[in-house]
Amino acid sequence: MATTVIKTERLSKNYGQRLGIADVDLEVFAGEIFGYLGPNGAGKTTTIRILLDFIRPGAGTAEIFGRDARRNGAEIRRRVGFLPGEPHLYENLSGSDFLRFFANLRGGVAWSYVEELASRLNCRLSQPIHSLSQGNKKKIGLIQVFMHKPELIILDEPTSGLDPIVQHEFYQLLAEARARGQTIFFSSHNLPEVERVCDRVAIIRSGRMVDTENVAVLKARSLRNLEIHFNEDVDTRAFASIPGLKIVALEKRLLKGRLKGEMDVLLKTASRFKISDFRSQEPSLEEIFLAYYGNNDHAQ
Amino acid sequence: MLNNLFWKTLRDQRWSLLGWSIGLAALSLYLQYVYPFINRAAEMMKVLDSLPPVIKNLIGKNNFITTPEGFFNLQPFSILAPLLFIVFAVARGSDATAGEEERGTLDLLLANPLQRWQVVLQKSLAHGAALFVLSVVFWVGMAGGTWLFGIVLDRLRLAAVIFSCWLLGLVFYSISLACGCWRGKKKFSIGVSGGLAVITYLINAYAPMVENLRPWRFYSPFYYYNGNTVINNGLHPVHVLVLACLIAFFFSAALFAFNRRNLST
Repeated sequence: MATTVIKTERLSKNYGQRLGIADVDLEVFAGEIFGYLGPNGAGKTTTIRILLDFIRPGAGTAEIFGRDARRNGAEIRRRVGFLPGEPHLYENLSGSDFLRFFANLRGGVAWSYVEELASRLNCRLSQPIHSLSQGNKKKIGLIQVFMHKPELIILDEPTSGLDPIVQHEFYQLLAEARARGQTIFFSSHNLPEVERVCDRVAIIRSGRMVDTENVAVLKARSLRNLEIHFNEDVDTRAFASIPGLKIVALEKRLLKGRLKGEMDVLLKTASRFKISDFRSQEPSLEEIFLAYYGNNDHAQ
Repeated sequence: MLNNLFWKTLRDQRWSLLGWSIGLAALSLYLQYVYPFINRAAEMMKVLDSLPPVIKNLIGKNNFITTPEGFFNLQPFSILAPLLFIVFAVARGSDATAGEEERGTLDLLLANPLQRWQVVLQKSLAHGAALFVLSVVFWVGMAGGTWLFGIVLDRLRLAAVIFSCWLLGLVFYSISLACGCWRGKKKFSIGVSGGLAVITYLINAYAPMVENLRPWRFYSPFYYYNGNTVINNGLHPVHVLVLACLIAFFFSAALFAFNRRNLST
């Protein structure tokens, strides 16, 4: 049986009258990449800040490595790497000085590994941090996450601001970390990214857990907004019984709709006619939540 | 210099500390240079002596200005030195945690295996050390000036009054630290500690002349700083103890507040 690395029970936090999170139950196992998916303001960062003991829960418990996150905060953080959504670094230091300082706070790291990470992420460490772009600052933030090879990596929206090449390298680093047995808690509002990277996903909305799924299940339930333009008049009845298709607009030469699940039947039906344009878009998380869970904030 | 938070905090201040040190050393030498001229300005002495007692006390003329002790007790130790030390201290106390919190750097710092109290302690030790370095520079400037301009002044007493000034600076440092740890707002911290410095200074300055205010001077750190006219009479152990207790109280309050707070993003 897999070891539990993160466990929360009925974890709750209010900010005055405003709900942060309510009754969040999480269980993350060793060696997995666990996605924490939700729209902005859903409570992802609040959960992470409780796990790292930056804020204290109003109710419930949070444990990491089987230890209470508050009482054993420093001991836990020794085994954790963390990247906030917008990492604010010490602007008066160079990238190299910043990483040396953080390495010293952790009792030292292998500097050759820091240089290897910098090279892979194409990050120049000698430049003063104040002169770096947000993307380059994020790279330094990523290096400080990985450099001490922590048992648990907590990432809050890690890829925003990274260019596609660096994102690809970052995904490689995650895969290598998982292969070494490191556990990754990956918070994001980006469904395709979570589908690509994670093994399991917890979905949070308006501060409440909606679901925890295997990514394979999530993929099978994938939702797309579709728009098909035809070069000839089509028989609209042909699209009436496509499984998973909710038609938004259907005219002689245009089909607009939302498709849950497999696209095979729809494509085969549409291909019977001359197609001039085909557009498929990932819907926003809110649209996905509405499609699967309706307006109810509580877990279904 | 980046071995731990103590050294990093000192390193962060190195240029500002250098600037302050040059300024304080220059001020010390300037005062030593002008003293003989003031001493000879008999006309000015008459004007000063004719001032009402309230004004004399406000400007710290509680000593004969014609003596080196009297002159230096008036300037810089009545207003200028405590003011500079408090400005230096409050700027750092308010920035120690609240500044990091406002700049957003506290999150990554506290993601390291550090306890919150360690952050407060290491930063405070570094800021206290920086203020101590300033005190030493100030003493070297003052004592060097007496030697340079042939002024007879007890250098141990000089060290004592500067030490008392250092303690006063630390009192307001710990007040600003506690305010920053409590609310996480730098402006709030500067406002409260700066306001307290002004109010307690005015209470101490007016108390000898205003009957109703007299008991209140014992609530002012300025009374314990130089109520004993340290440059003449040396340190009063009870006064030193009171200042030390104030520092310990507000520092403990800072630790308590910071440890309990939800840190803002």
